[in-house]
Amino acid sequence: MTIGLIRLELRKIFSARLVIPAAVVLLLLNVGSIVKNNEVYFGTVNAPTERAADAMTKDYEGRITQEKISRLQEYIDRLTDYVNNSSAPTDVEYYSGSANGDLFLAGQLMTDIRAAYDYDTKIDALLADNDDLYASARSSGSDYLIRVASRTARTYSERYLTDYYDTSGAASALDYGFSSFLVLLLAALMCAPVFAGEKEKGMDLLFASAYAGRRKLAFAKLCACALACAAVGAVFFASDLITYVIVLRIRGLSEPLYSLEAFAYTPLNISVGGFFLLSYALRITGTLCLCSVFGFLSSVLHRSRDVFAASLLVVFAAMACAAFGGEDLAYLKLIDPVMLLVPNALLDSQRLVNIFNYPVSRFTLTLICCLLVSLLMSAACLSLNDLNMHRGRTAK
Amino acid sequence: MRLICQEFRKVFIKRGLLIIFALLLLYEVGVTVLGVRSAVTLDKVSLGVYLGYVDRFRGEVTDEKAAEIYTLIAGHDRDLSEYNALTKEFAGGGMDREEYDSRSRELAQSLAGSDGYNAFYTLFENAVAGSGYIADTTVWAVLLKKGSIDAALVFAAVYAVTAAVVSDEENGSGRLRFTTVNGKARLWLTDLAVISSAVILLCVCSCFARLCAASLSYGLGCGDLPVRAIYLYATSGLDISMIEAYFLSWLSKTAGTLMLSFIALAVGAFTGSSLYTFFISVCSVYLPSYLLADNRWGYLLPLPGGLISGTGLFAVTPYGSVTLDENTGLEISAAGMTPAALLAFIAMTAAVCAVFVLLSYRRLVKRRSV
Repeated sequence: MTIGLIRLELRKIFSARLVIPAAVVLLLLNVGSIVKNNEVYFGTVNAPTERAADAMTKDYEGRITQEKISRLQEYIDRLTDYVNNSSAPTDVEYYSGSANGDLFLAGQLMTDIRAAYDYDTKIDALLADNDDLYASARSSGSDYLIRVASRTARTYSERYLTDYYDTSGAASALDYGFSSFLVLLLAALMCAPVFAGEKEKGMDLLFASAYAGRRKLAFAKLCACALACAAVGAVFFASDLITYVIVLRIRGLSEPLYSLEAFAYTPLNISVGGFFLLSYALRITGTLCLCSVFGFLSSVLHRSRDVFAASLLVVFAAMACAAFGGEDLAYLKLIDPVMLLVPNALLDSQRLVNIFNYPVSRFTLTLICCLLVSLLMSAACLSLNDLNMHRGRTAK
Repeated sequence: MRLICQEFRKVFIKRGLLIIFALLLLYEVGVTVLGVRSAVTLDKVSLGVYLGYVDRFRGEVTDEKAAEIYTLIAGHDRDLSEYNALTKEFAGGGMDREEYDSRSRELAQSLAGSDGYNAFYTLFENAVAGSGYIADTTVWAVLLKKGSIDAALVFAAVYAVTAAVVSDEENGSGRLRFTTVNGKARLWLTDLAVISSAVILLCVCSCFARLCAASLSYGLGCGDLPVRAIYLYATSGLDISMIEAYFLSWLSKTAGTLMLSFIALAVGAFTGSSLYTFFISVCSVYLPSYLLADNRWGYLLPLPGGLISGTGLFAVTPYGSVTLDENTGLEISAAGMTPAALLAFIAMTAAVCAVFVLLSYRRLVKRRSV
């Protein structure tokens, strides 16, 4: 019976006058925003340069070998000669159409390949620092620091890059967060009238006598809210990925996540493609956590308008808290679901919190705290509705 | 007049706008205090050092001041290198503890609050490179933060509209309007008057609350200096003081909020639902601001977001053209908004207002015929 109720509630949510048109408009805006942010690939801004860079990268991507580096270095030396002596031959086919342009692009490519080639050196330096930390922790007898050093050694050992791919497209796609805001807007619109709308119409009194049972009804409403938000989130995030794959031609999905410059020190040893899935799963989890807060507000307040306004204020406050750089709000950030909507900020490097002298990843702690808050909100929402409906029954 | 008073009573007391006002004021105070706190990154000693230097050299950078500051910088660098050399010598076993303590104490005292000195040095560098003024603009940079939209103000304005008009439509009392003894036209005018005055009151209160919170938490200090003293507005074309800029930003915010409330009125008259009015109004402010962030069109599109951000008239656009003023020899960037655009906005506000009246009237006539 609960499944049937959830289906009915879902139909009610999606048949609201503005939900589907708003979702379609916002989806189009989202796609438009991605296209606008990456208009270089659509032939409007510096398209020939970008295409030349793509073509050059294709020739050198894949396994990093000394032969490739030497070949690129030779090409750079030759181009430098041409440019310095103003003797560039005209019968040679350049990637960008000129020796100058190729020199610039080849220089950039060399820097990127070198960075990938030297990645293990960077990690060795970090591990050497970690060894120092371990030694000083041993001498001072700090259990926490010893555990931190051991954990760091476990996380970062055996890390090296053998291949090079242009991962700028993947980095840009992982950075994009506008869709999360749109999903939250729609979630607030969908969740606001779930309980408050019934109160506005006076239907809440009838729930007490519902054949399915008032508890089941409230549970079904909450489940329907969560499912609707998850569905909207999935559609938006899928549209993000599809648009980015089409627009930016994302490469190197099977490469380790630390091959991305911004994630060089990430504690995760997964592939870029894996992180895409994890990132979208976390965003949907964050949306569901906020959805439980919206559900709670809907059962507390009596007007859909007030619920929507309060929901958006919660979203803005959570966004401000996530963006606040100081340490003042560090503990508040642990229960901030918006942190799950921007997983890059949690997972780009190892962030540890001291819990009873044990280093715990801030990401794990945030996830657990947000899920707990979400469960608490859902329980409060259900019990509040139970109470309201019970009151309704006794009033009758 | 009696009608207006009754409407005021209905909106403010019966429909809870007074509570929203109180919440708005709390929010403004909280946001300002938190903003100032996050802008001040120095500890107490360093802040004292920094403010001491700023007070000493406050105002336009002149050749004498610059020379004095360069002497100061040279002295500080000398002390620092001497201190480092002393520490190195001590670490290498070149002197005993007693000698090191006696020689380093004085140097350490002169180097105390180094972060404050560094902050002042950055301020001086920025002044030489752009603004030409040395002033502690921390508070004014928070108050005149570029492109930020005051969420509480937006919400309060839309709430005022839905509480005043759209709720009537929802609960069925909108139908009573055409039987009113006062005349329906007068009732529409009353609605407009109540909403406009509520919005203006909201803007005044929010502006005053922010100013008071900033003044009490840090102090306003150099409000009389030109707005160009703020690093972000160093190439602004408007030659006005920071207080005047704040007043201008308040005017712009008020115009934007009024425009938003009229859009909300029009949407409310069209949809008859306060939830949808809220959703569409909020989208009309936030979506263009997100999509057109750092773009001149963000200010020039006839939507309330650009005006509500409040800094369009003197904020420079990052990719705008920079010209050289022949009279002053200063670099001037294109502002986000021009006076012509402001006039267009006023025309747009009037148009939205007319649409609202028309839509409401049409709904009314339809009902009467039913």
